[in-house]
Amino acid sequence: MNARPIRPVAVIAGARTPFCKAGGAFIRRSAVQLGAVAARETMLRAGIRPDRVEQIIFGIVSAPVGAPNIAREIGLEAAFPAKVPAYTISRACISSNQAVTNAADQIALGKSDVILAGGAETLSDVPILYGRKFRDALFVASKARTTGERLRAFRGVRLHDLAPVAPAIAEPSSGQSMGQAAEKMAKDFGIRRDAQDRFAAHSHQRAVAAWQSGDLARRVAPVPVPRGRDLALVERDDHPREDTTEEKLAKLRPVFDREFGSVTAGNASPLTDGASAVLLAAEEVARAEGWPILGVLRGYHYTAIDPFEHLLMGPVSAVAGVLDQTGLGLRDMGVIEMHEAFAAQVLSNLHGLASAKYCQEKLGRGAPVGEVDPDFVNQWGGSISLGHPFGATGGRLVLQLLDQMAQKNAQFGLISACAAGGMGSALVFERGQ
Amino acid sequence: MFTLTLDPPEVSPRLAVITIDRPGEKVNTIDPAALEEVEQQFAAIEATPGLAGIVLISGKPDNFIAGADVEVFATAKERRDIESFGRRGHEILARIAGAKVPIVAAIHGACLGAGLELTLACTYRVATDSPKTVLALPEVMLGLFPGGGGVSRLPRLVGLREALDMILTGRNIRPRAAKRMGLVDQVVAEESLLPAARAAAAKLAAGKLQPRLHPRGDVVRALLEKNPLGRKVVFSQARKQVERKSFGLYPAPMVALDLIEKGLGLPLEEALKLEPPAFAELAVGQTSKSLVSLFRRSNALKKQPVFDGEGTRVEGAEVRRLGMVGGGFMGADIAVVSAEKGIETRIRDIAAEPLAKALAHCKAHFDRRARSVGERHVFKARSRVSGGLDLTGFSTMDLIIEAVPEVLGLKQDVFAQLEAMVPRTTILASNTSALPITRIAERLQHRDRVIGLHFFSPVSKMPLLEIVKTADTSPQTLATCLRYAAQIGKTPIVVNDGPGFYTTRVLGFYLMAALEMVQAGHSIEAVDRGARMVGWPVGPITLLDEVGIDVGAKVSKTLAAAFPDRITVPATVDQFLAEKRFGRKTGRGFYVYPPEQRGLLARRARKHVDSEVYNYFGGRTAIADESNPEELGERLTLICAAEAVRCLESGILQSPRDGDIGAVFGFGYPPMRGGPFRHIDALGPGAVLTRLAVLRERHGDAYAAPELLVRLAREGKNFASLEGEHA
Repeated sequence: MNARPIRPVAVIAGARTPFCKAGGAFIRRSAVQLGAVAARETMLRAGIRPDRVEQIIFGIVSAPVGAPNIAREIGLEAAFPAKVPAYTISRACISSNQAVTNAADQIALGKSDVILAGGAETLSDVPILYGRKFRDALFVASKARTTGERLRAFRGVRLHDLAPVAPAIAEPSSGQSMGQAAEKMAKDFGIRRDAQDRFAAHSHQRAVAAWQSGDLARRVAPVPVPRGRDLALVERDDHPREDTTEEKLAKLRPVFDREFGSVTAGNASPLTDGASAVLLAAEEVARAEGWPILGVLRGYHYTAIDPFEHLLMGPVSAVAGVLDQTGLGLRDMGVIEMHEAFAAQVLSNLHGLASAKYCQEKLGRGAPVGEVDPDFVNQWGGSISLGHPFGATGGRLVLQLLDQMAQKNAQFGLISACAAGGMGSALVFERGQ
Repeated sequence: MFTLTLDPPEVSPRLAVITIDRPGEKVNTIDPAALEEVEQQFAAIEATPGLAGIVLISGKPDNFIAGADVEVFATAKERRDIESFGRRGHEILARIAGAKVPIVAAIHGACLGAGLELTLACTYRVATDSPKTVLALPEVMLGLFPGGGGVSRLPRLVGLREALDMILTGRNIRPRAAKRMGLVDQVVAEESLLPAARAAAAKLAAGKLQPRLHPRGDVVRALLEKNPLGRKVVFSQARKQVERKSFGLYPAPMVALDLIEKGLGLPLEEALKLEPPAFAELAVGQTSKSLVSLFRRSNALKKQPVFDGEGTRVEGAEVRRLGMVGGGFMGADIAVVSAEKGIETRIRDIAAEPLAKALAHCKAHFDRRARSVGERHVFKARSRVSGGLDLTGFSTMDLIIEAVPEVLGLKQDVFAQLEAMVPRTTILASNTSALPITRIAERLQHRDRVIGLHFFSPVSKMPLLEIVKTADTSPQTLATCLRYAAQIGKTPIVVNDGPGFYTTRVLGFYLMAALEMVQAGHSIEAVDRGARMVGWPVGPITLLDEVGIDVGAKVSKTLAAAFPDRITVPATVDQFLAEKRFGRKTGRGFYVYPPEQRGLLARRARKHVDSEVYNYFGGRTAIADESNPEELGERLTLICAAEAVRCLESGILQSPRDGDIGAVFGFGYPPMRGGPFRHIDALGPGAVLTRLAVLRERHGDAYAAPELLVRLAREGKNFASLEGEHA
């Protein structure tokens, strides 16, 4: 294949909905409706007409049964021109990270100039399934040609087979839940309960402060929700709590290991509804048009590790990889955003990055990747305090990183995130001049 | 106009498809030439051997036939011409109705008036289920009745009560309802129209399908329509209703009722013969002439051209994105109407609660539409409306309309803020109803893009858009706003800037004159009733309650400041404001509005005058004898007409035509008068002058005659002759 020019890709705008407790403010909204708000607001903030968008890519984990390609529905719901094609990807908690980097690839290769990427999730609206036995029976019955056949299909179905099954956040391979994995990592890497609670309390204090200062508010667009016969506007994230302290968190009981555990509801990310979107364009196009450049994507890397071992340690190898790619070190990063699935996970990842032993054994590297002060990451709060709509967190990380880089005038910034299946993701952005 | 496609002879059954497509027009209409053509086509078809059936279909994308060409009535010199046009039409319809082969009408899009009457003469009717398909007999709105067989054939086909409803109201019937009442025989998807019509023709030809000629019978129909006594009840009820609504000012509904009643007692052929003379009689009458002229002139206004300084025609740009600043009901209504016509609309309101209210208002509208035409036909419009708390993204708009509260300083701030963030080409419009646009624009750098777009509430129903240009407004800005008016289906009048522009100014004089009458001792009911007796759709005091006394007060004060010698706002008004009596919206104004009751036993509570309000009119002595409310109506109408003349005289209005349309569509000037200028012409400028002089003697300077009227009377001219000068 001929070498083609690889074009630098810029982020030029973005917006998200408030992130709200699952089953709360957005209980009557769909992922498509939330995604449409993020998509439309992104275009309005960019000050660019939607007909400039050439593709729409969205990520989601729990796709609605009736509209699995939410990206397309979002495009139509937000009145993008019908001619803009759209697809949806699913890569657990790094779905929208993947949407962003897919968009970047397409632009870098010259396939498109402008792409809208994002993610949406409503855990208020997950499909509830029947058990396998009853589903099989229903399927067979639907194919039956006679009443007799139809009835025979249900032979062997017992009453308890009719109980609905809600999807669990557990690994299909190992059967281990995320929380159990975080417990295991905390124990194996010696992450203490008080360190986790301190980190989580910090996350809340920082999120509250960033809301008060207006740093977060300017990326958040209000969402109209039904209230009785009228509508009400949801304008703010509803997870961050001003009154969360280390002491209060210390009183919570561990959830996944009641006896020896340290992971609690307070130092883990909550189930959340929300959506985010990011507008990407070829840097050359953005410059020619005079569009603002929030940052240029310098590199990204995805990795996977054995999910049976330390499920959420993917970020260590991903960060190592993206630093190798860009020739940069952790010390070059003016801002670091790490997805907070659990405080134990963030602290374990930081431990792994700094540990010569871990880097040698797991990554086969002669030296550790580098040290990061836990206080340095997520200075405007993270998934523990802001919430974690699986499909939408990647988009939030990108916006929060770039806005902090602008505020600090930082040249480089790093995003890392872990995902189910033992996967890790890392992205490096450079600020446009 | 008619294209004939014949199946090849070997096809069985052999069908003919007649495609109706009037060249050079957006919609099909029927005129004498078309009638001759139909005749020829049928002659050709009847000579075709082995033909089994005929399908009638339109070649226009979303229109079957919009009706008879009104130019025929408008330009006909004599009653004879109209009558012979009618007779010719009847001959051809009789030929269609009597054809040896079945004729199937395949209806998609508007099927109105003579178009619907044509289908009534067919054997069978198939319609599409599209929201664009509407069937109606709107002749009554032009002061006429469906004289192309409609009054005779419709009641026989769908039943008396259904036919009366359609003929007397002119209302639109959607496909589903049309099927239910038997107006059409079959409803199909748009893509299946021709195949379905062909299949029906084939089945009819083969005798496998029988045409349905009469309404389905049920107990009610048997009681009311199938016996003379029941029919009498129906007709007397209908007459009462018509009388109550029209005050005897509109002859057409009564003529239609008489014809239907008489016709039902006759064989169809005899009944049909009654139609053309009665129709021609109405068509040459003043009422119909006025209404037809309104219709024609409003159509002409929709196409008015704009020229630049050098006389070159300026084309307006299409508005694709609209920003609404201020999300009151007006803002939300404008957003909804625009979104339905394909314009993406963003509503900005500064606070969450009003914004949520505006969005809920839009949602309620779309939900209602969805119930009537189906959600799939509403989805796109719904997706085009969004709301926000700031002006983010307004730089991408083609047109921004401000609808914030009527405070000059506030509006100036909004415009300054907008100018700082939008490209040079964005049009900035104000929806103010009275504040001068020139003042609103005075702090801006580029005033050529500023214009007034005065909408009327409720926006989805009111047909008028008053476009206010200033001395600085560029032809490009005006042309684009005219195009926007066409996009959203509004009739625009272009007026020059000034306090209250045209409509608000005249309305202000009208309302204050009504208050003056109450002050003089007349009762509120008498004033309202008087106005309605001369043809105003609502009385002035009721209107003031509807508009809001607070709004009315603000506007009137603006006018009083501009015309201190001629209009005063009575102190009474401030008492209303102090007591928060704002009209219907607060439950009480001049009238009291009992809260709506819910539930099974709820009685419809009616508004009634609050006698307390008379205490606000200091020094008022009630007039015991209210024997002549009609005169009050006449005086109010003359006040309006005189003020309209002043608007023309001072250059606010560019032509009498704009004034006529603006008055009727904007504030309800008695429609059968055709507008104030046409009204004066009909009465004669001299006669009006004399009448004004009498009234001035009795009631003061409010009835002073405008200079222009004096001049016209002296020169023996009228406004129609002026129109020539302007054109």
